[in-house]
Formats: sequence, C-alpha cells, structure tokens
Amino acid sequence: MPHTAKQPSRRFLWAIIILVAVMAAMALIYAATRETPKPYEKTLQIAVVDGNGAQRDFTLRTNAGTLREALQEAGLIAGNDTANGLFVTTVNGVAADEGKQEWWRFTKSGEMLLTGVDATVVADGDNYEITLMSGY
Amino acid sequence: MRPAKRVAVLAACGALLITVQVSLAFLPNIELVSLLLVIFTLHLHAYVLAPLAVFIVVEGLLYGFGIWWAHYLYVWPLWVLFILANRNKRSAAFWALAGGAFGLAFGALCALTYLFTGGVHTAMAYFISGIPFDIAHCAGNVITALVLFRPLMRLGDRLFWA
Repeated sequence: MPHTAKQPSRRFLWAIIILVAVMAAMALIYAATRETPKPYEKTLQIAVVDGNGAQRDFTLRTNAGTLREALQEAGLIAGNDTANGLFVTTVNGVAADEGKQEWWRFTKSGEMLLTGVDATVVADGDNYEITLMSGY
Repeated sequence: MRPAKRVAVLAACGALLITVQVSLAFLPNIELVSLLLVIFTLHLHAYVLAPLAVFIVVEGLLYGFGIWWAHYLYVWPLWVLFILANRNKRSAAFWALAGGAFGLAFGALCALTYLFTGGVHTAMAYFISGIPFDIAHCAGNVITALVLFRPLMRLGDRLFWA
C-alpha cells in the first residue's frame, strides 16, 4: 500500500534531520566554547620530571598561542606528527622508551590535560608539568 | 554452524576487528569496527560477544590499559546490545543512521567515565574537546555503512552460512 510504503522513508527523513541537527548543535557548542590562541606575551612555568624523579624547571616567555608552539620554540619537545596532532616522544632531550612502556604525561597545575599539545591554548601564568611515566 | 567451525569463525572475527582497527588507526575516528560489529551481530547474534571480548582485551594489550580502555568496556557492548535489539533490520540506510548516531554519541559515552573520576567539569571538557572527532566519526560511519553494508552482508552470508 502506498501509505505504508511511505512511512519508513518519512521516519528516515526525520532521523536524518535529527542527526544533522544534533551534529550542528554540537558544532555550535564546540565553536562557542573553544579557546582561541592569542598572540600576546605570556610567561609559562614548565617542570620536566624524568624517569628518576629529577625535576628541571623552565620559565618560558613567549607569544605562542598553543603549548606545542611554546615548547617547540624553546626546543623542549620533539615527536611524531599524527592525524591527532604531535605525539610527543622526547622532552628536554630525554626520549620515552616505548619498549619500557614509557610515555610523557602532560598536566596543568597537577590536572591531566584533556587535549593534545596542538589544541592546548596557553595563557599567562600557566604551570605545566611534563612527567616521564612508565607502564601503560 | 558446527562447534569447531564456530570457534574458528569467532576467532577470525576477533582478529579481523583488531586488524581493521590497527590498519585505520592513522585516521582519527574513521573506523570499520562499528560496521563489522553490525555484520557479525546480524549473522552470529549473541556469539558476537566472543570476538568483541577478544577485540577489547587485545586493544588493551596493544595500547595499554589506560582510562580509555574503561570506555571500551561499556561503549562497544552497548553498541552490540543496540544491534542485537535491532537484528531484524537489513537496511543500509538504517545502519548508516544508527552508526552515525553511535559515532556522534561516542565522545559523550566515553565522557561518562570522567564524570566519576574527575567530575562534571572534566567530563564536559573531555566531551567538548572531542566534538570534531565525534563529527568525523559520525560522517565516517554513515559513509562506510552506505558503501559497505550490502557487500559485507552478502560476503557474510557466504562465509557464515557456507
């Protein structure tokens, strides 16, 4: 019957509309809450803790907008570019040994960063800790 | 399906899930695991939980049992439960939309873990920072289902029922 034949397509149309609307709403939330890098001079405190627990502190004065820019400008980090951004493998010349399940943990004032170094927008007075961790 | 064949098929399905995940890992949130779980569940029904368990455990062994792994413990089983509840559906458009919705909700579902470990603020920050990846996940799931659902179902019919 024509009526029943049309029902599923109408439901699919509504499902598509809802999916697109949710997607658009999420994109708007992201755009509205997203921090944008600002190129003013800022001072950042960076603490690098190696595998032995030894800490080295760095004070960076920079116009960089993101953590990656600031750390690369200071020559503190190196790594591999991935589709998700830079995967940091080396900090202050110390390379994480994948064979020993080592990795660099980035925290800001003790709180784990939820974004990679490319997406982390820095502000004046920020404190970051970069710690060599062992074990996944 | 005879028990011996079933064990072999389930093991192969688990291996295939891991292979496609690892081989597409360079593309952020573009994956075939969601679609393969649809194909497997529509053919194997509840037996799909075996390859799913293999997939989750091996992912942990490959990438480490971090907090992200806790997401896998409920996000993928939830998707399989949804597929099981809709296992009579055979429309590519339905699975494209369902996969799209699952991709879009993936970050929000993962953020639930952070609700308990870091509170509402951490969960919201995690969810919002992942929105571009959720949108890519949604688009990827829609396109892969529209393109691959029918051919993979035909292939599944031949492999599973042969």
